[in-house]
Formats: sequence, structure tokens, C-alpha cells
Amino acid sequence: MVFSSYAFLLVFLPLTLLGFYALRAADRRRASVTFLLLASFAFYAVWSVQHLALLVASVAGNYALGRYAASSAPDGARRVAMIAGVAGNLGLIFCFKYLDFAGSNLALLIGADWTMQHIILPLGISFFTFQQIAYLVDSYKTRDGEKSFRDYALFVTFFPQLIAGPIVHHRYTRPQFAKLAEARVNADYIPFGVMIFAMGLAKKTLIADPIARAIDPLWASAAAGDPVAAAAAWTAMVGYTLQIYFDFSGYCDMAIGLGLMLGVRLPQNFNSPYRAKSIIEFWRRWHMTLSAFLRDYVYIPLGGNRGGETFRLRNIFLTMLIGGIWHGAAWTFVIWGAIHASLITANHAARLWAPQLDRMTGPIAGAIKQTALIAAIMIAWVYFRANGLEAAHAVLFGLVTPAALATDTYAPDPYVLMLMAFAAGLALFAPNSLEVAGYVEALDEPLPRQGASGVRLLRPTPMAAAATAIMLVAGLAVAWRPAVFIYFNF
Amino acid sequence: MEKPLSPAGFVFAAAIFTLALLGVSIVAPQNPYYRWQEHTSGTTRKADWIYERLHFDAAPIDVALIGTSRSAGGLSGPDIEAAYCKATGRRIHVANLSIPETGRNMHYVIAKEAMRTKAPALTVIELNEIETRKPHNGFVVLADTSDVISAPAFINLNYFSDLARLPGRQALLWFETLTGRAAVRPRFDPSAYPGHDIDRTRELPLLDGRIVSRFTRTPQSELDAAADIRRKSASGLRLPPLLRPIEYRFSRIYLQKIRSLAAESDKEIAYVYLPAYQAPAMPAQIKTDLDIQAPVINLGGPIANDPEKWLDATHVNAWGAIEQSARFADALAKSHPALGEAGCD
Repeated sequence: MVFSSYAFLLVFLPLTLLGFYALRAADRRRASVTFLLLASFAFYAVWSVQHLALLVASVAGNYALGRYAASSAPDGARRVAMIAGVAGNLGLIFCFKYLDFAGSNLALLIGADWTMQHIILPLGISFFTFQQIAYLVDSYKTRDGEKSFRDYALFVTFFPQLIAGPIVHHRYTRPQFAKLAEARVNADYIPFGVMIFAMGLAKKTLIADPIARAIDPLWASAAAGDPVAAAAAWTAMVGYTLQIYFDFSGYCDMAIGLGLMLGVRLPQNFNSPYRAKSIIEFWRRWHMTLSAFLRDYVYIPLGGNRGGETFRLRNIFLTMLIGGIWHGAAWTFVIWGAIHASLITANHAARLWAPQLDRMTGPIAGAIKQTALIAAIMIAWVYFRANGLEAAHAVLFGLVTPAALATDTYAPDPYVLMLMAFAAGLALFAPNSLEVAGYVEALDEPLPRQGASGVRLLRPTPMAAAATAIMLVAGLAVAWRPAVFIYFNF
Repeated sequence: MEKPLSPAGFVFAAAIFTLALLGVSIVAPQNPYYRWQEHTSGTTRKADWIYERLHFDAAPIDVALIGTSRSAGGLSGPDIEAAYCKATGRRIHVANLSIPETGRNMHYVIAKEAMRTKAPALTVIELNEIETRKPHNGFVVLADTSDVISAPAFINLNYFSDLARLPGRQALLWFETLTGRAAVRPRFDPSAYPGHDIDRTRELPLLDGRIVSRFTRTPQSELDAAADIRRKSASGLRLPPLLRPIEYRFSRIYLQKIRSLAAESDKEIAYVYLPAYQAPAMPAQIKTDLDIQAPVINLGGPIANDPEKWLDATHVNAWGAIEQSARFADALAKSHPALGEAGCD
């Protein structure tokens, strides 16, 4: 069930809100939390009942191992439990996501004649396994595991974040779910949840999806081996750069909005990444919870900065490469990860050995840096989007093909170009939805944030209600052809 | 600065604004010609021609054929006109207004448009060996707003999704009308109009510009296998006797609406039975299920069992269509010998 589908908007969400708040109104707060868990299972079961069984088994196994890893058992035994859990999660993700890719390439390498069975990837497996890996490691380190199976299961399966993140730490949701079972929901959250959700819905359905419909045929044509003219290549590349931005940003907003409607804050995952001036900053703004996970559970275990600068740069490169491969089992993702790994390593190296470059922060230098960064990111997106290396190279080759040599006369739709220009303006210059809503993820700060951000904050006024209604209606208007979020594929 | 609303006040205000906007979107002005260009059947488009034939073509329609892809590719208007003329000495205009996919609500939409523009003397509606219980997926694309809202909600799998889709359709059509961005062409272009005699029994134009010939045969083994699957899937489809009255309620409602439209214009309705490959002669139960009183032109029989005449297990090929059209014209000449005008071109 995609958040922007009728099934979700008109059936699942109203029923879930109704059930949740009806139980709370009847003073059955614990039951309302259990209801949320069951709703999350139902949300997942709509895709696949078999995979729901896998998810439940994964949750149960990790819960048991986490309890043991946090217990008063001897350190060695706890460590074994933690390592077994991490290995089990990695094994699960390897079997479902990478076995086919690894097996096919191994067969190619050794000349074997075996055919890999294409295994259907359980939705959200990359997210729920990473979240549980973090939980196991943290439980082992802090000796503090979740006692309630219900709260643990909800931490993993909470439907607003189950499929595509944000990757949430247990220590972040634990007090919230505990509070949800005991205390009233902060009613102030609800209008902000509705507003942020509506903004996310509008981003997804009114910007990302129309761009996708315009450029998908271009990518399909490239995948089919057709020559790609310059106009088509540029439209495909720039279009995808904007599509994935508004697709993921829209998803993140909708996830946070849904959480707020249910009285739960989720961490910020997206913060205007195309406004970054360096690749380091980009990764602090794009998929922020994945970056934090990679830092805490890959980069630091690899040794972090504990072995000198060269060692640190090696670890940074490997971490980003792993981050790239996490997105998908294909050489295109390996190259995408390698491009980002190279860029971020070069960025760190430049800070180290040419700090004057980093200190150039004037408007012209900033604009040059930002332009160069976006150009590099766009080229990397070509690998991320393409169905195979040949398609990626066809698009990249098309970018520099002189019009006179083009065999195809592609003319982009002017309305699509206008939409792309509008979207680019929003991505580069406008404050983002969480800024205007005054959203703050820190649980010890009031929500919404009060002033000081330099942005005129949205408040639940009649005007905001009208704007929310316009976005909801516009989103509903096109919801008859919902498109899956890009990050659902990972 | 506006005073913030309470949380409940905000949710209430947003809900009211949402409902108001949905209401406004439903009455937004639009060009129906644009609407009829929106419908495709996946690989082909025909509704745009239907609208043009009904609204922009001065030629009358004596016989309107309304059905699914079986009629669209199985009955040739020009062949019927020629054979009818030969048999009766009268010139008739046959318009094949059939659109792929099943669903009686679509037949109603087309019949309604035909009745209010051309009022055909005879409207012939397709019957198959298995009546569908499903609504047509294109109904929400082509139907008038009032027809979407007032569609039967009981046993209508698409009612709520059609209703939910309506504001979006209206908003899109309003935007297209405002900007002149029709799916095919913003205004009628006589030079692009394929004429009142389009015939898709010989070849089928696809959306991507390719034209597929229907002078094609399928190996008998494939046809037999497909027919076997259809037979097996069809057996046991009926509801228990207690529920029979509601089983085809949806189809009956729309067929009754079509009959009422015809009666209002003092026009006639007839039916044509077009079976699938190896399907039986017309089951008597169909007339009861659908409350059919009017005459039925039965095209079951030899063609159904002749593997040379089939494109696939449910559609005749061009040779099948030639034979089917001849039999239809023959039956029509006998049952309605005075249609059209005297004299042939």
C-alpha cells in the first residue's frame, strides 16, 4: 500500500486513525498501541502475507537475541548472541538481496553454467534489518534491551517508517511508545502531522510522479538499446535528479506526518540536500538516518579515524561504497556508490591537504562548489537509475552527442520542462517543509520549534487549513495512478 | 496575523475545505471532447473516434453496434452495409461503437451519447456466453459526472474507486480544457478524421503507431488449450439459487437504462450473441439473467468451432469477421428489412 494510493488514503489511514483514537477515547491506551502494531502488520500483509511471516520471525528472533545481549549473562555469551544476531540479519539480507547478484557474477567469473532463481525482495528488508542490527549492537553495549515484545515489534514495524525509513534508533522511539501506552497524545502534533503529510503527498503526486511519467519512457528506451539524443539524455538525467529528490523528500514528509498524527515523532531524514556546498554536507542532508547508521555501525567498526589519516580515508571510502551497494544488488549501484565514495574521500582529503579550498565560502565560490556538486551528483544518478550499465552509458554518451549527430528527434514537453524548472527552484531556493512547519526531532524540545530559524513558520491557521486541503485534494486527484516510492525498492 | 486554530478546529477546517474543494472540482467546466480522448484500452484508442462520429459527422446512424472487443473486431460496418443493401436494396449507415473490455456501464455511456446525438433506429448490444459481473474500467473516464455519482453502489466493484477518482478526472479535464491540452487534438480536425466507416476487423491501429493485421491464424492446439481453460474457469461460477436475483443486477440495471433511453426516442434495441471459440450455442439462461425481451441475432454455431476463423480464443480473425458480418447482415435484413433509405450507392 503506497501512501499516495486510494487504498491507503481512503481506507487504511482513516480506519487506523479511527481505531487508534477510539481506543484512546475509551481510555484503552495500551490497547491503542497494540492496535497500532496490528495495523502495521496489516499494512505489511497487504503486500505479502508470506513476507509478513518473515518479518514477524525476524522481529521475534532479534527481540530474543536482544534480550539476551542486554541480560546479565557473561559478556562472552552476550557478545556471541549479538554477533549471531548481526550475522543472521546480514545473512537474511544477503540471501534475499545479494545472492542472485553474487551467484550470477561468480558463475560468470568461473564459467559455471548455473541459473540463479530470482528471489522476490521482501519490502523494506534493508530498513528493518539495519534497524535491528543497530538495536542488537546498542543492547549489547548498553545492557539495556526492550522488555516489551509489543513495543519492540512496533519499533521495527511502525508502518510510517517500516518500508523506507527513516532508520530509527530504539532509544528514540522507546520512550515515545512507552508514553503512548500511558499518557495522552500531544494534540498539537496532529495539525502539524496533517500539514506535513499533505506537503509530502503533494511533492510525490504533483512533482515526482508526473516527472517520472515523462522520463520513464526515455530510460526504457535507453535500456532497450536505442540511441539517446542529447535533449532526451539531459531531460532523463535532470528529470531523475528532481524525481528522486521529490519522491524521497515526499516520502519522508509523509512518514513524519503520519507519525505525528499518531503522536510519535520520527527523526528528520531529508534536509534540502541540493543546497549543499560539498558532498560531505550533501550526505548530512540526504537520507540522514542512513548516513548516521553507516557512520555508527560501519565506519566506526571499520576503525573510524583511529589509525591515521590514510586509514580514515580508506574507511570513509569503504563505508560509502557499502552504502552504495546497500541500495541494490547491481553493478550500477556499485558504480554509484564508488562515485560517491570517491567524491567524499576526495572532499575529506582536500580538507586535510588543501584546507584553503574548504575556506572559500564567498557567494561565487559557493555557487561554483554547489554547481560542481550537483553536476557530479546528477552523473551519479544516471547509474543509480539506469537499468544496466549499457543504458547508463547510452544516457551519458547522449549528453554530449551533438544534435546534428542525433538519430532521434526528441522534443521535451514544455509543461514538463516548466514543472522541472519549478521543482528545481523549490529544491534549490525554497525552505523545506520541515523548516516551514518548525519540525524538530529532539524529543526534549517542544514541537513546533519556536522562531529563530529565519523562516516564517507555518501555524495551524484557517489559511494553513485551506492550503492543506488544496494539497490533499490535488494529491487525491491524481492518486488513481499511484507510483511506488523509489526507496521502496531498497 | 491569523489566530491559530485549536487542533480539533484545524482538522475540522481542513476537512471542510477538502470537501468544498472536492465539490468545486466536480462541477469544474470541461470539454467532453477532451474527455473522450482520454480513454485508451491499453494498446488502442477508439473513444475519440466515437465522439467525433457522434458529434462532428453529419452522416446519420441507422444501426449502432455496442459491445466489447469481440464486436469491435468481429463485426464490420462496411461489410454489413454492403450485404444489407444487396439483400434489401436499402442503404444503411452502420456505426460500430464497440470498445474493448467488458462492463455494461460502458455500453450505457456509449448508448446514451449515441441516443442524444444520432438516435440510431436500431441499437444492437453484444451478448456473450458468460455475462460479466464486473463494471468497465473505462466507465469513470467517459461517463458523465452524474452517471458516476448515481451508479449503483450495490455489487459494483468500482463504485467507490470511481467516485474517488472523479475529482481528479474533473480537475485534469478542467486543466486540459483551460490550456487546450487534449490527449489527441484540441479541436475537431476533418483532415485527421478517419471517416464514418472505420473498420477494425481487418487491422488494428495501436497507440504506438503500429498497425496489426487481423488476417492471422492461431494454431488449433493453442486455441483448444485456451478454450479448455475458459471452460474450466467458467464452471461453478454461478452463485447459489438464493443469490441469483442479484448476480447480474448490475448488468440488468444498465441494460434497462439503455432500453429506457431507446424507448424515450421511440427507437429499437436488439442483441447479438457473439460466442468465444468453442463456446456453446447461446445459453437460454442469458435471456432470463439479463431480462432480455428483444430479438437476439445468434452468431453462434459453425464459426465457434472453426479454428481457421480465430485470432485467439475470444476474438475472431479477419476471415471470421467477414463471415460473422455476412451472417449478421443476413439476419438483420430478415428481422429489420426497412432500415435506412431506399437505393444503394
